[in-house]
Amino acid sequence: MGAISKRYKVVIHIASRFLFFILTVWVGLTLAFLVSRASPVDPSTILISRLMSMGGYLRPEEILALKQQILELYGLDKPVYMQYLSFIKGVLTGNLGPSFSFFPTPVIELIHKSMVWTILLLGFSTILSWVIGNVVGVLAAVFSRSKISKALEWISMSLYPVPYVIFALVLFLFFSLVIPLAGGVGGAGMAMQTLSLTYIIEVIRRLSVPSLSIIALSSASWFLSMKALALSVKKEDFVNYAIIRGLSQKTVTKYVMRNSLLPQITSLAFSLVYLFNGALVTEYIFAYPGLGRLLYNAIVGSDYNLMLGILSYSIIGVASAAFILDLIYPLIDPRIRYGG
Amino acid sequence: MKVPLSLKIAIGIIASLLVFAFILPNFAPYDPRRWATVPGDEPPSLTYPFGTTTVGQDLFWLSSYALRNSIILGILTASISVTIAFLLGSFAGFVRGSVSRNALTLLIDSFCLIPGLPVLIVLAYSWRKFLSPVLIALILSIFGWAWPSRSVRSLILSLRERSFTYTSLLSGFGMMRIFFYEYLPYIIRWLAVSFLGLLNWAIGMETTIAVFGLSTLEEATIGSIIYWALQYQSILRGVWWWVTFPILLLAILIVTLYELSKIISEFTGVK
Repeated sequence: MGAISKRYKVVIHIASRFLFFILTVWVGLTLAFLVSRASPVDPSTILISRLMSMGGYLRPEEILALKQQILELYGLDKPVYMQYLSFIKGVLTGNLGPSFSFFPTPVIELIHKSMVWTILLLGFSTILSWVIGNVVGVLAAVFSRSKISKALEWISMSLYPVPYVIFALVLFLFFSLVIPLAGGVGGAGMAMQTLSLTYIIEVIRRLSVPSLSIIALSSASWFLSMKALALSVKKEDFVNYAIIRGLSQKTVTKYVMRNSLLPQITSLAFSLVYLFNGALVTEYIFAYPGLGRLLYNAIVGSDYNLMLGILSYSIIGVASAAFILDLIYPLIDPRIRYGG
Repeated sequence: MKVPLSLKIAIGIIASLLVFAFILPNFAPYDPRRWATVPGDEPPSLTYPFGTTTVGQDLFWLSSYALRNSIILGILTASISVTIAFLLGSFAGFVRGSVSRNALTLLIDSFCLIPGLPVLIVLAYSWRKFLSPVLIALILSIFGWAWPSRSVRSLILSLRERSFTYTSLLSGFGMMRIFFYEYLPYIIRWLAVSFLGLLNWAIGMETTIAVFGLSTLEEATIGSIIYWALQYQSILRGVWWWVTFPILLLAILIVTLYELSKIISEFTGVK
């Protein structure tokens, strides 16, 4: 086994993971397309009825002509497979058409603006909750007899199954009624676009409550799985041996930590889906200007293009994050060998 | 076999919730969904244990009715998803052809990686005129099956290599027969636990899309009560009971179901 064949295997591994990534995105986009075309409602009818409700009066033949024009504009008059191809092409080239409710702003522009906020919220709360949950989880497993450890487990066990939306609502009500933080929710003001210290402080201040809701629930779940993992690692021979050798508590904790951390990294990739779903809800409840808020606006405005755009982007975003984690994984786990 | 106290308590809570949800609505003095049957905005009292809503519904009867719908919806979603997971997961773990095996694994893994909420929101939005608890259950099942399928697949992968599989194969058992007679007894406890998990997931997911305003808003579910309470600004106007009691009921139901599934998995040794 020379160095060349090892490198060859690395390439094969990355290529196969990449292929899986592409296929996942493809399955997701196809699902998104099917979901949008399986709709019993004709988007052009919605658009026209929205126009009519704004007070515009149209004669029947004008309505028909307008409908035809809208169908042509959005390519809905072509056969389904052509629509599918142009949808895929649109996602690849980043041209998802104009938004209905913010006409004629392209969907992609709206999404890019909001995506930054979602990534900020999600990145911040994911990393923080993962670190908190895992560190506290290991400590709770190492000192599993202490009262604090049991109390923490009890709290997490009753927090963990609560649906995120309920938790966020309760937290929102708590922070708006019991401890009112005036303007403490939502993203930083859109007017302040210059990058100054006050702007950054404002961003963090407004990020705090929405991210707290995600962090509290997801660190509870990381805590529970980490504690269970670390408890089983603690019983293994090498840990006993380390204790018998008289190694310090700190070193033993480090041993347990390193060995139980690996499965947690794998689950991080899959938990991104839950975190992303949660972020959509957070943004809606806390009026945070990310993709979730945009999605809600799209629903309220019957904005089909925007909904599909957000859908496609979330699929690509989550799949890419999982793909990157998958690539990093062998760097963390020295036991992983490519191509087995 | 000694029944642990926690199991007794959990079963007791679930049983009383089931009585509340399935037996009580039959004794409702009026259709709890109808508006203006009782005075609006009444705080909890002896006549109205949970208070009344702004539009004049008795929250006690309304939430018992809603809890029933939410549980039915959850059970339906969980049944569909567990059935698909059992059949598809077994098939994915059992087949030997590399193309069909990889294709199935890809399909299952992709569905685990696709963020479900935006898809569900788009689906619920486009079908919102036809939404009923049954249709919502069908929509939720689109994502419910993926996670359990993944686990069933890995369970079956190890059972596939056991000698009894070869014995059955050589005895001329068909694939379905092996799934149902040989594998099902091994994974039924696991399926039961994941049934409870899916029940929780479905009830929570329905509440989530309802808060976005995309559930059956005419039919009462726990989610739609919360939606209307928020729409009528109940908290700002001090009508706190409108949103508190549904949330409390939901939290009790879900936490107890979770504890129950944990107790069952410890009791039967399911990992």
